[in-house]
Amino acid sequence: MSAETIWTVDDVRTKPGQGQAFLKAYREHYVPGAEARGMRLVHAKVEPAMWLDDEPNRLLLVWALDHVGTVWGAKHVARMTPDVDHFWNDIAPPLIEARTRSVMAEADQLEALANV
Amino acid sequence: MYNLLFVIGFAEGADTAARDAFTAKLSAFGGTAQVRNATIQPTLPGVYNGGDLICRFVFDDDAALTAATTGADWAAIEAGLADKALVASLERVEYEGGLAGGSSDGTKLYRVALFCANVSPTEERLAAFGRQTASMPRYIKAIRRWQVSSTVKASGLNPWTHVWEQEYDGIEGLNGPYMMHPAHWAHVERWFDTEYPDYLVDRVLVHTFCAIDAPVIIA
Repeated sequence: MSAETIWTVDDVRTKPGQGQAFLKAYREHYVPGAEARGMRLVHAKVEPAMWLDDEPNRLLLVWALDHVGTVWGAKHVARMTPDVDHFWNDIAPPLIEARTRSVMAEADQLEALANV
Repeated sequence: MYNLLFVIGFAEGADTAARDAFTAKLSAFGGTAQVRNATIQPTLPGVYNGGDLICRFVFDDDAALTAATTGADWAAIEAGLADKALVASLERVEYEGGLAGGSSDGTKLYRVALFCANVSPTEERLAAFGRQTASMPRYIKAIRRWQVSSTVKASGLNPWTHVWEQEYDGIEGLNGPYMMHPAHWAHVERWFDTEYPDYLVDRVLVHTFCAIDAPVIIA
């Protein structure tokens, strides 16, 4: 990863017993399009480190984007892509309880990023 | 202050003479006694739903606007705005000045965005959105003068709820620091990006700007 890399993180708490199903749906219905928008899925972390059958799993899905231009490009394309809305509005909700999305950068890069 | 803003898109078939004559009527209205400040300028390339002409009038209050818009001259303007052969699109908002700051001294570019915050618009979410939008000039120094307002009346592509205005030294400030600073793409964008669960603002918005040679945002 370069110093300019921006990280987009989906932090998802699934419904009880739905962790594996959510990840499968994410990989099938969301990941290919996101990769086409210039995003690279570099981590799919699961907590705890096992699929639970009667409790929620938490998933951290970490995407790398090369630079700020990639962030804007991915946003603009996603906003015009019905499949993205379909995933978050129709496919994901039966499988998840809550989620957040965050856009992050390395702490040592914040000064450079703000110097525009 | 009380503001009236038009973003006008002329009809493709409207000839230059008709457009110029209508623009002249708007400019003449800017000289009306009740108008404290007027900006009538063509938009620049790169706008989104941004029309061809930005037209902004400032009054002391809504009563002054009402008083100024009762005569035959204004009736002719309204007739022009309603003439589909002349005006193809019209975004129209009235708003009192909201949170504002900075200085217009020497600014050369005015930019206005119209938003419709209509996705689960709870009081708490609207307050956070307004607060974060108003925080942008603290981080993005290229924003020289700014104002974020709630609308009183609105029509057009959306029933606009917010007016976000800025003045810059030039287009570089808008296309550079404003777009590239993390206060925008990593922070305030949460209200606009449909992939965030925080998503608040309808994806149809207005982003338009024009060259200026005098202050626009009068508080």
